[in-house]
Amino acid sequence: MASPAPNAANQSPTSAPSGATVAPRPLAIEVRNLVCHYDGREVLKNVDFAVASGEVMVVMGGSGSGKTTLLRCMLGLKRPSSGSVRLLGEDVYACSGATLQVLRKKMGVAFQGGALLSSLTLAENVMLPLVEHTRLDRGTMRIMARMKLEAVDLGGYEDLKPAELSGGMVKRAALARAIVLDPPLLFFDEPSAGLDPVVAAEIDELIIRLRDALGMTIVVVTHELASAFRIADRITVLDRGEILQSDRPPAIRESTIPRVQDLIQRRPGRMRSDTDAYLGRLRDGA
Amino acid sequence: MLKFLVSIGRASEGFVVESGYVLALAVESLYWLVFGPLQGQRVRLGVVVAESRQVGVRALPILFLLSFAIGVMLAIQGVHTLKQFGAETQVVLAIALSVTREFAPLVTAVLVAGRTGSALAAKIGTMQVNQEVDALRVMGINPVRYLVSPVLVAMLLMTPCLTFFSTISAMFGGAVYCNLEFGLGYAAYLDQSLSFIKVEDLVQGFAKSFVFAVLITLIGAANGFAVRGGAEGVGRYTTRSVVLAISSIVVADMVFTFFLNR
Repeated sequence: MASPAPNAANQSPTSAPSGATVAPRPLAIEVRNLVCHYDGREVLKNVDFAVASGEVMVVMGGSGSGKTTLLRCMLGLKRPSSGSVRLLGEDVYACSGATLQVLRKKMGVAFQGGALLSSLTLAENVMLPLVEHTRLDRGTMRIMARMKLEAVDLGGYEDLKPAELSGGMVKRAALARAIVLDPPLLFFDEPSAGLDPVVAAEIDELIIRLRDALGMTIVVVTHELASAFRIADRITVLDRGEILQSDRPPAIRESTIPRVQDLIQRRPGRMRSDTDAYLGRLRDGA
Repeated sequence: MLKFLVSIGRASEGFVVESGYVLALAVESLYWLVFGPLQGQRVRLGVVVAESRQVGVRALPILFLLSFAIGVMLAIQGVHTLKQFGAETQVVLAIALSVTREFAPLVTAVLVAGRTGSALAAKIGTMQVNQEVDALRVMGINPVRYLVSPVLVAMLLMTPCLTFFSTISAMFGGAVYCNLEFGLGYAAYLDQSLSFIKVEDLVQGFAKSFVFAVLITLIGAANGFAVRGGAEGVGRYTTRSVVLAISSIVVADMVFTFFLNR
């Protein structure tokens, strides 16, 4: 496991591509020694990493590598067996309900399937965090929702229900909902999966814009390689619940770890069972 | 034998765990109703009104049909039985009391369990499968406050109203039959019914309907939140919620009747 250990002062020393040292940035996300089980099966094994404020971290890995479980642990939706998750300095699983509530208002999440409320229109879905957490008047909320929907190229679709939209449009609307409060923390689960290349590129651009313009800290879980290398400041590669490598994109590209190269080069995984021996056992009735 | 004992033990454990969960859901729903406004997380009135329309107004046609039919059936059975004693006119008393105390709350509750309880379980279950419940959580919106508390209020408001409507409909059914069978006028039927029905009878029916409303809502919601395994899970837990709700309604009715009529 090659994850960069952040220093004790809660700061992330970063270096510019040229090698010049820049001022350390505070850590927005700290995941420490995370272990998580599902039905007795260990899904995350001592996962440890940190994300500096204003950084785009991409978590990559094959199916079943533990990406989604890691995201759920980070969001406070799945209590880990051990370890801790700190978001903006607060321990998600040790803080009070009130603190967690405040923390939730500072994070936006776009789920893989969108997870828009089917009984509400697009505008109502995007407005929901505003309705629940602000005292803005209805007109202002509607204007804000329209702005966010236009940012994801969904202007004019405000009054449609999620069932009337394509999968890609639902995904973009979920993105609009995630950013409606301009939260300092953003989490995306497969944001460009299933989208056409043009829209996927637009989503990537939007993520980069959100980081650059608003200084958002963004975690993206994806297995879209092109997208990952385009948007990431750092990439963490997960395999069978373990971090194989966590580094800047060029270092990941030149990784010497075979499994990381398998993923990047889209090579089929190495066979782990001896097929002939297995067929032989079947033949022998063992 | 050991297997049998283990299965009984597991079933008992499941029952205790589920009862505890339903109780916790009840406490949490009430908590948000009372303390939600203090935390800036009130239960929205608009949602309660929309749910009330769904639970109450839209159930009126089918409830009228069922209750009317039950009133007619009670009248037929009552006249047939009482005729043997030459007391068929006493059927008005039988209908008035049985409908007010038993049949109206029971029929209403069974209908509401079939309509609203199943709809609630299916809605929450589908939201659970589609990660909508997770989305609510990460947006800082408590799913119980957002999804359960408004329905609970709507049910507590509308189930007694529906029970009253069912009582009137069933008595109307009985009146129609009595009018056709032995020419009892509608005014006379109403007059006799009102002279038999006491306030306690109505209170008994309404008290039951409140309890049934709580049972239907909580069982529907608990099953919805328990859904796992996609569309199949939604179907399984929706069916389960209806079966459990109707069973608990009948058992609760028996307990009620036992204590209130001794």
